[in-house]
Amino acid sequence: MIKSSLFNVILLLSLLWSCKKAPQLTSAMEDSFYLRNSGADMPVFVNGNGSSKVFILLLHGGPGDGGLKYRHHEFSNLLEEQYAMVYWDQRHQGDSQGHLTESEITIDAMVEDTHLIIQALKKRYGSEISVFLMGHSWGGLLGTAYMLKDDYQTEVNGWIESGGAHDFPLMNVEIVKKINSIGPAEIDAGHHTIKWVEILDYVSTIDTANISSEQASKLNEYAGVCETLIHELYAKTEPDVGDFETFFFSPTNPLQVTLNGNTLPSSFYEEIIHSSYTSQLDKITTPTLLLWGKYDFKVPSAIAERAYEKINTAHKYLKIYDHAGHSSMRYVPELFVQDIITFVEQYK
Amino acid sequence: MKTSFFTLLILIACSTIAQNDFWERKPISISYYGHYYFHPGLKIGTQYNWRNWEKEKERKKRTITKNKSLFISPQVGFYVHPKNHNGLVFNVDFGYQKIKKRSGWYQAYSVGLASISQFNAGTTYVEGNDGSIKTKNLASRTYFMPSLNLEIGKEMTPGFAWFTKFTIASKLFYNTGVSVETFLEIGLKIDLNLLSKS
Repeated sequence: MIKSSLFNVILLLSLLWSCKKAPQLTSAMEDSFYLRNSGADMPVFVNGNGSSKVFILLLHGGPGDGGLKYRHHEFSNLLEEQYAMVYWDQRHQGDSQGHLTESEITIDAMVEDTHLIIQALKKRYGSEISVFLMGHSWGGLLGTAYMLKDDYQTEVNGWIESGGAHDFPLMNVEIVKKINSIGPAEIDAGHHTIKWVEILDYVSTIDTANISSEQASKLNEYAGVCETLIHELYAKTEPDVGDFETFFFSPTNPLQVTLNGNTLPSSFYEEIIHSSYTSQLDKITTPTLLLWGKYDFKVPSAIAERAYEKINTAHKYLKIYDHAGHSSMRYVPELFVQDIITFVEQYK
Repeated sequence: MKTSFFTLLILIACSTIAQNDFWERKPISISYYGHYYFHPGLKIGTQYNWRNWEKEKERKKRTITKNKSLFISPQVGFYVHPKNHNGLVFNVDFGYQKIKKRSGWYQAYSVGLASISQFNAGTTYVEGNDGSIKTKNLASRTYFMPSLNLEIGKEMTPGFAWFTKFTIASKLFYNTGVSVETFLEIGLKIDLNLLSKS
């Protein structure tokens, strides 16, 4: 009796599951799906103006952040008014789950995931949709790796990179240069003198021809500190959803997101810090928009300038914002969004 | 493999129950089952007291009598984390319970062993053998999930109690590590034997 009741309940739930409506391309889409690939189940959230038939797939930073960490910010709210934003939790990050081994957590595995998500978007919403790829920080490295693999770049209408760490060795050298170029002026202006002296002292000990992993890690930490010491940077926007609501009522689980991000295997970080794509950027022929902050110490704008020279298309644009740091979208959301809209409207 | 291990564990627990024929009390529990408190669900279960004993403590004005027991409690739960996943949990708790005979208040501390199947919310896409994208129905993954539980409740009338239970748990072999889960249950326990006697 109990067995048969339980069976009926499970059957009913299965039927309810199978009665899902087909997704509609509306101006206020709230859709989600999963991608399963190589041991990982990864959630994908699609929000915004689907009727535009333009989908911007956001490759989050970190590594270790989640896609939804970028939602409910001023920039993403503005973009959602225009286009469908696709927030994806990469493998072993965000709320992704699965049975994974270290060997399945690689840049190439995530490139394949990116490729499959674009296929899934086209299957779900129609092959006529336009897809733009947008990578921030670590997501810029991932997006670059995607653009360089096989003919994958033909799947997207455009590539938007913001503060993208697509060349770690070069990035470390540029961090040292950036600190040395801005630090002394800040000291002369009397801004946070003690901290700048400490950072400059540390930087002076580094041989840029031979930067160790430990030094790179410390440089990254100091780069983050430098950004907080700059007077020109202000009005950093915060998400318009509170922590309590996010924790208990959102589709994500912030505690698990943190845990997943903090337990990424060291082999993956080793792969990242040795990744250098600048020399291959001439293979990118797809329209490209590079959006950087002048005070991005983590991934200095020199990286973007080098990329701009190398990318092999006339349809390339570089914007460096005077009042922005590593996350331009949070410092100058309106400018950031306007530049994206201009780019997307041209190539959609 | 892990699911098989868990099934074996439940069978061993059930066979132990049968062999000792220890049960007079088999309360049925039904409760709100909240994953992270607010992801709603439902849980049903029962409880078999394996050992019962009584302990008295002399106080200045009166004697306090506590009924203590060791119990096994198999349960089935289902919850929905909207737009994330739906969880189906098969769980066995092994615990210690003490009841104040006069007031009916009780506390229970237990260790749980569970199998949780996590069904992805919405459609799941997979790559087919030919490289094309296909959908997979009812895509799920199953994890082994041990837990620690604290339960507080009160027997209102013989055979009828309310309870609340707080659980912290961890899915093992989750990604390359573990997960952190917490559950809240608020529900009723109904002892059918005692109710029918009264």
